[in-house]
Order: sequence, then structure tokens, then C-alpha cells
Amino acid sequence: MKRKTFRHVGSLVSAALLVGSLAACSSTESGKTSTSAPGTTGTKATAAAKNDTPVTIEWAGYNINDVAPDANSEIIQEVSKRFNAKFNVWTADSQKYSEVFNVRMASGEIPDILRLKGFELSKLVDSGVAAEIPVETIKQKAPNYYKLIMDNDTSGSAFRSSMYKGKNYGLSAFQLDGTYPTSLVWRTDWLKNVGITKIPETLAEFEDAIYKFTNNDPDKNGKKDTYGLSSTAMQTVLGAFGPIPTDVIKGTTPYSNLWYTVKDNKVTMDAIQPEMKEGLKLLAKWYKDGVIDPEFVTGENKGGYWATSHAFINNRIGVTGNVMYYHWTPPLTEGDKGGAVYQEFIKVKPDAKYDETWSLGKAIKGPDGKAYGANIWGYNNETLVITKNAAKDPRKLDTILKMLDTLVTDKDYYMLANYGVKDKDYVINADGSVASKLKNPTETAQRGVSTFGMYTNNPDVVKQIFKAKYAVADKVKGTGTPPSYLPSVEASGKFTADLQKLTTENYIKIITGEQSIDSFDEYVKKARAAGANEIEKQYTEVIK
Amino acid sequence: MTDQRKKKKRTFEDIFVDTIVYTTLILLSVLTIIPFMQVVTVSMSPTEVVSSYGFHLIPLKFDWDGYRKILAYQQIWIGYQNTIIRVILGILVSMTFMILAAYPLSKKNLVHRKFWTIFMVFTMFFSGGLIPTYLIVKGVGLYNSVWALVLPVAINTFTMLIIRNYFMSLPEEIQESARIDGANEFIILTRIILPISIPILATVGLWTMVYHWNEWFNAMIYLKDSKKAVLQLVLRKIMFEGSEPQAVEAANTIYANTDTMKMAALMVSLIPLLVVYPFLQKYFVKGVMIGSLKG
Repeated sequence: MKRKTFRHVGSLVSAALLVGSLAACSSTESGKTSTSAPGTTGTKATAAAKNDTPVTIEWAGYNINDVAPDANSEIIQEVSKRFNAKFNVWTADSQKYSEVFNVRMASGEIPDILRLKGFELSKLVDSGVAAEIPVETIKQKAPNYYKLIMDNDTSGSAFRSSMYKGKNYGLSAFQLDGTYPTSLVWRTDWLKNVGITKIPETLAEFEDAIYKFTNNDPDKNGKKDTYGLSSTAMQTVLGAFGPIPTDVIKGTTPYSNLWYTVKDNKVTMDAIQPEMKEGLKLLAKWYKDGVIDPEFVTGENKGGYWATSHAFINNRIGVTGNVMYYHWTPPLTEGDKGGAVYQEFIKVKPDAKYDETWSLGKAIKGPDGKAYGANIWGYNNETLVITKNAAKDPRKLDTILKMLDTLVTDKDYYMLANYGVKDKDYVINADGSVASKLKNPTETAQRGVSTFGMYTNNPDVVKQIFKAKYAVADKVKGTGTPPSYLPSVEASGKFTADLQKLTTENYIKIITGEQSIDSFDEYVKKARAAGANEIEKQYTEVIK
Repeated sequence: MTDQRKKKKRTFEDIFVDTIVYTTLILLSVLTIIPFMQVVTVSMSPTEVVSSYGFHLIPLKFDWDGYRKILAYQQIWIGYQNTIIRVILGILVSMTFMILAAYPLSKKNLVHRKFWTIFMVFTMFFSGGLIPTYLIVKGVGLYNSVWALVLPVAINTFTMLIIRNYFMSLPEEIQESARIDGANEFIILTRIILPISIPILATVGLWTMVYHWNEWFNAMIYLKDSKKAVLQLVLRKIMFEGSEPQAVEAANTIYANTDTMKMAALMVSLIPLLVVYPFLQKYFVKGVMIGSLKG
């Protein structure tokens, strides 16, 4: 009920925002944006003349928190000095910041740089908040950043989520971890107890393992109280047949996101692809045979940190998925407490040891050799939007781009922006790893740590700092579905909620045997009529 | 006589009705108590209990780590302080305004009384919406101050009408006799009406208090400064930290509050209301009953 109310508030707000800002933004401003590129030589001179007066930037670029950084913090001071800029960092409840920002923007306050997550790009553009920033300009003013994005763009999706009607409105992000697909986590002691020595890699081996997990009493307690898998490992099972339809199949709201694949410049909705019928058939069989935890419908996580699988840590299932390697890494260096899920696991099972008790595994290979984990965050999914205010003032835009470029070129600056001041905010261990000294998000925000991170990793630095972690990760790195992050379109806003519900309901009913496998075709028809066709069409148009 | 009464009590119908009433009430209380017990238990249990399956109704193992962490969390105390200030201001402002609005409206000789009543009732069904309200709050300079949480919601029309109805139910004669003794309207209101309206005032006061204690949305919209954040906003933050995938938690420190901590935070914010409620309970029943009479 509450969620619904918020959604209404949200749409009302955005509608009002649209009207409000259309009135506020005159046509001359949008004209100015396009002329700013050729006029740079002229403005450069004036910029140099008043160079000593710092430019003020309204910053909603990254890590929106409800706490503003302390103006006296070394990080803010140093960044200000370095770029000759003053920063007004926008604050809001991190879960609801798009609502707060919508209200503020509707009343005429607009930041210079804005995190896109939670907003619809089309609305920001149509209402005149977002301003065009040609990729050419980015290439010119932030060449190192541009190169990094392009070098790592294996799926051709760079700048895609910031594109609207053929124009670019934002800055893509690069995350090193986004190049790692989600892992499977196996109970290696269970595998051993049922006589399997190798971590399963193919669908056949996987099937063998989960049946034995269910029937051969892997925990040796004499009771038949174990299952093979629950909801999260289904992702990689379906991925073995091709696309991954959604992040997790569970019946409790909020429903999971639907995923899309971009192939040959065409966007398709993964959940309605024919391959999924094969995958569901297999899952339905497994369910009938009792190797899938019947509680999968309510999900594996029963509260706490989202990636924790309570079914797994409570000895209910033997394999779980949809987690990143770093959720599960044991303490590898001094001061490292281990991954967030590991910490929960070790409290329930204090004698657990990596490799002996549990281990990370790759996505499993299907009949055609396909094997997909999910790059759940991708490496350029997040977008920072440049607004009309920043585009109007070449000094602002230059500063923002320079900050981004510095992040990927200057290691010291990267450390400062993301981890703070050495020995005060973090310490460097003997092996070169970094241990943060900050206790909670509030303290982090007050210090201004990662306020200027801009979502982009400096891969060299990150790999060096977390050497031990990446060593573990590289060993188990599997194949992932290429990220398909797309700018939101009108149809996605309109139909997605219903489609999510329809998909989840049908998938669950098919898996649990309440509906026949053949009802999948019926579901596809329904989904197409309920907006899937329209979404696919609009997405395809938008990325052209 | 006593025999007769006993006999009467024993009729099948009585037993039948009693059974239904008591069963329903017991079920309702159980439904209310179980989730609460779960919160209480989780708040004081170690992780292995919390993350095991099933209900946790009675704490068997104890671990006060959640409370220790929450009580050391400075933001909770900032929130507490701000909420208490807000509640006190809210009650004072709301009660004053609502009484001052309800009293004239309860007078039959008020000119255009019907018009004014309908005029106010109108606002119950139609409001300007979020953005106009935000613009006004900002325009009059309330933004980022506690007044933004208190003034725009000063009068709850429905509650005000309940007070009005209560005032209308009071015998006109008392007021008339006071008037003959030379009292003006203000003295009648403060010396006669208010003292005999304590049940309704206590009830409405409690409503206002609970509203201000629980409300977080307007604090989120209107307050910029985290030093002004109210308790429920802090609580929200504690509850949601680490509850959904964040794009960049990668390899960095992940902040995830344990369920024990979350439930401890809930308990900490619940206790004051639990303490206040029983003291107002006696007025509560009386106040709502009488205030709801149509007049």
C-alpha cells in the first residue's frame, strides 16, 4: 500500500516536474548547449581571466547520502583546491533521493551533475533538466576516461544508458567488479560427503550434485532435510540455456527486474525467449523430484544483508547463486573482515573454511555450451547526467570532465576521492591492501569519502589494492551475460510493473507444476500483448 | 435475584456470543503480540538464532550486541532529540490552532458557520499536492527548519471536527451562566470548556503525538541538514542499509546492519510510545466515544 502511494507520488512529481521545467527552460538555453562546443576557444580566454574565482558546482554526482560532507574535511578542501571549485553536495535519503530531488528540481533548483539511477532519462531530457553532452566532447576533454570506457566496452553498450533519441546526455561508469559475473557458491563439504570431488561445471554435473544433495544426506544428520537449490541458483540454470530472464525468481514483492538482451541493434526481452521454456521444463522436473527447496517462492534471503542466503547458511541447500565473489571471500589480508555474507555464515558455522566447507564456482555450461552468470552491475550501467546548468557554463563542464579524467589517471587523487586521507581514513597493510578506518556510512559521508568517486574505477589501482581478492575472483571467473542497460523509455515505465508480476507468477506456477510447461506459450502471448512488444520496440528505437 | 442473573448468564446464546467475542479478542491480541515478540526476541538474540528458520518468540540465547551498537550510534540520539522537540512543538501548535478553530465553529451563532465548516472540510478532499506545498514551505522560509514539519500540518481537519463535535455536545447552559457572570469568550474557553474537555484533548493530543513521532516523509523532503533529522528517518536508514544491491559496494567496505541491530533500533524508538500510551488510555476510550457524536 505504502509502496503504491509512493509510486503515485513519484509519477505526480515527475509530471509536475515536466510541466514546471518546460516553462522554466526557455528555448534559447537549449540552443546555447549545441553552440558551446565551437565557442570553447572564446570562453577559454574568459575562463583564464577569472580563473582565480572558484567555480561553484552543485554536486549530486555520486553516493547520495543524507549527510553532507563536512566543509572542513581534507577531502573536500583538497578537491576544491585542485580543481579551483566549490562544491555544494546534495543530500537526501539514499533510498528515496529521486523523490526528494524531483521535488527540489520541480521548484527550480537543479544540480550540475546528477546520478541517473531512479530517474527516467527521457523525462529529464524532455523537461529540459538533462543537457546534451556529445561523446566527441567527452573524448576531447576527458581522453583517458573515454579510452577506459571504450577499451572495456565488449558489448557495445558504452553510453547506451545515457542515450536518448540519438544524443548523449551523460557519463557512463566503469566498474572493475562489473566485469566479473555472479558466482555460484557450493558447499564443498557436502560435495565430498556425497562423493563428488570436482565442483560441477556442466548442467549434467550440476544435476547429479543437487540430486545427491537431496537424497544422499550430505550433512550426515540422518534426516532427509536438505535440498539441492533454491531460487538464486535458478539464474545460472536458465542462463545455461541462453538468456537470464530476471535477477531472482521469487514471489514476494518487490518483483525482480526484467532483463533484456541487445543483439544486432535489436532489443529482446529475455523472459519470453523460447529457450526459457527448456530451462523451465528442467526446473519443473527438479521441483517435482523434490530437489528444489519448496520455500524458494519466498526467496532465500530472510532479512539482513540482501545477498545473504539463509537457506544456504542454515544447511538447507547446497548451492546458491546471484552473488558477487566479494560477498563470500574469507578474510584475506590484515584487517579484512571478509565478505558481507561470509561474515553471517561464519557466525552460524564458526568452523567453516574456504575450499573445505564452501567454495565459489563458475556458471554452469548448458547443452549448447552456453554458460552465463550475470554481470549484475555491468561495467557501464550507471550514468551521471549532465544538467542544463552545467552545460551552460563551460567552466563547470570542463571541471567535471577534468575530475573524471583525473580519477583514471592520477592514483593519489583516486585514493583521496574514494578512500580519503591515508592513516586518517584508511591504512595500507603490509601487502598493499587497504583497510578502511571509517565505522559507518554517516562517518564516511561526513568525511566526504567517495563523494567524488563518480562511479568510475581506476582499474590499475583497484587491482593493486585488492590483489588477494582478485586472485580468488580470477580463479573462479566464469562467463556472464553482457549487460544490457538501457535508458528508460515511456513503455518501460508504463508496462514493467505488470510484466514483472505476470512473469514471476507464470514462472513460479510452471516450476511448481501448477501450470503445464506448455502454458509458457500462453504466457508469452499474454506478455507480448501486455506491453513486451511495445517495450522492445521503443528500446530498439532508442538505441538506434 | 442472584439466581436469576446466574441463570441468565448461562443461556446458550450468552455462552455462544461470549465464546466468539473472547476468541476474536484473543486471536487479535495474539496477532498483535507475535510480530512484536519476534522483534523483541530478534533484537536480543545472537546471529545464529536470528538467521535460522522459523519464529523466534521467546529469547533463549542472549546477545546485547545490537543494543550496544545502536545506543552507540550517535545519529539515533540526534534523531531522538529532534523528534522530541518536534513532538512537543507539534502538540503545542496543533492543539492551539485546532482548539481555536473548533471553538468558534461549535458556536451556533457564528455568522456563516456552515460556509466556514464546508470550506474547511473541502481541504480534506482536495489539497495542492506535494510540489505546491514544497514551494510554499520554501517560499515562506521554513525549509530546513523544524517549523516545516509542524506548521503545514498544524490543523488536521478531521481531528479538528472531532474537537468541534465534542465542544458542541457540552451543555450550552454552563457557558451561558458564565457569560452572565461577565466572562468573555476567551475566559469561557480557557476556564470552562477546556477543563471539561480533557478526555478529547488527551485523545487528540495522543493522535498528534503519534503522528509526529512516526512521520518521516516530510522530514525527508524538507530537511537538508542531517543534524535536524528525526528519529524515524534515522531508523529508516538503519533498516535499509544493505537491504538491496548497490552498484558500488564492490571490494570496498560493505555496510550492512544486522537484523539484531535493526530490531534493537526499532525497540529503542518504540519504547517511549509504549510508556506514554497506558497513561492516556483511560481518556482515550472516553474521548473517542464522546467526540464521535454528531452534533
